[in-house]
Amino acid sequence: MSSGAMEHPDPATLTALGAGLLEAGEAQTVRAHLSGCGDCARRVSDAEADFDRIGRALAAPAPAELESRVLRILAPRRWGRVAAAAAALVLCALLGGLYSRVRALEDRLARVVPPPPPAASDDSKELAEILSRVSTDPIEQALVRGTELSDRESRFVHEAVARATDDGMRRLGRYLAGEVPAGELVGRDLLAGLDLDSLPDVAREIDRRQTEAVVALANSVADEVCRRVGASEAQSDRIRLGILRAAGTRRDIAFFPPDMVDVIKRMELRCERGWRGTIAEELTPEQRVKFDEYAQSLAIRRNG
Amino acid sequence: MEKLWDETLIGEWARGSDAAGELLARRYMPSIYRLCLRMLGRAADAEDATQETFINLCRRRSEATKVQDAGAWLATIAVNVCRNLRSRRREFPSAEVAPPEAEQPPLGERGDSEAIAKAVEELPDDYRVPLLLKFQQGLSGPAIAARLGISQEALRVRVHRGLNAIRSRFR
Repeated sequence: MSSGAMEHPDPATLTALGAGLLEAGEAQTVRAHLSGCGDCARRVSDAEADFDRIGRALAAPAPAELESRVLRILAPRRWGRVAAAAAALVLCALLGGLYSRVRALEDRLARVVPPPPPAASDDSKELAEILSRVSTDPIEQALVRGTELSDRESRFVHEAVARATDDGMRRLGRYLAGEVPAGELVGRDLLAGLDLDSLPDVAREIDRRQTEAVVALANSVADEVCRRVGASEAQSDRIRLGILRAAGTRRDIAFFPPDMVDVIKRMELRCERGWRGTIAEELTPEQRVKFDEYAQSLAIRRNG
Repeated sequence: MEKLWDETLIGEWARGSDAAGELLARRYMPSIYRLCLRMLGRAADAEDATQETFINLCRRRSEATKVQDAGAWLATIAVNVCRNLRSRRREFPSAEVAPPEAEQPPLGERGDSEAIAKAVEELPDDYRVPLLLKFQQGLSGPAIAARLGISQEALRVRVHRGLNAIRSRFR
């Protein structure tokens, strides 16, 4: 700016002040001038009002499907999980409150239901054969084959169980929000459209319904998984335990500082560090194709 | 805090985090789309340009770790994408309105949002882009001047003329 507080600033400077483009020091100097100059003050005031209208006029909603297209570009491994992302935020919040209870339940459950001996390989083969007939879902197949997997494959199983837990937690979120009764806590479709606005209500409900909900979670998820894969009784127990254990291993979530939004954002990154590439790297190309189809079907289902 | 988070986000994405990519997309896609829409005037073209902006971002992934202002960087990419798109496609309307020399009266209550948006879309780039970077992308004056490679004095003259041109449409 070439003018001091006692001179009239040039019109472009007054417009720039109205647009909020001046740096603090210069803005202060110009405003000092405005306090004694009605003409300049009116110019700035007019510019502010006009820019306000222009800013509002430029607003436009982006097409809903554009987000998924951009996600395929920026997050190709993850984009299929986007449909579940909103529910995953609820999952994070819920797990923060449920973590200690889940661990306690896991310990109790482990005492009540001792770990069964490993399944005979023949049983596993038979099971895998049955599974291949009833499911094309690599996650479910991996869950059933879990007892005979290598370490690398086991990591994938862990992710698969965590994923199943995600489903259960989404279901749990709707249950806690009072949207579905406990008797209907079965079926992935129940989870579609979980409303994040219900999160505060969910949080309040946690205190009262925590124990009941965790038990419902374990049962509903285990029942659903076992039904879909045709698991034996012994496998059902292992799956049930695995689901609880998977929830309990997300220790990050136990550290839940007050700024929930920021923490949830960072938590997503932390989860990703733990999960990054695991599913993508462990799957064969054929499995990847199926997995992508599966993930896509979830996205379509939610959008539909 | 917001800027720090952006730096973390784009840095994490550049190092391979898909979760950060997802957050980047959610955070910036809507504003980049709006920017492209006002640069190109048509929704379908704006969608293409938005996609191309993020594709360009991927191509420049290695640079992203050094980026300090993700929003400004992305907006600059988007503006260039839109300019390239326009130069490739001759069917784009070029009904640009030259700013009047005479000082125009303020808008007041004249003109609805659609008409005002159209007036912005029809400004020459020199006057339109600074307005979009400010009022759509929320960039500061120094950031806009730096991104456009002009002085802050030149920036304020462009904004002043741009506003004058818009006002002239509603006399």
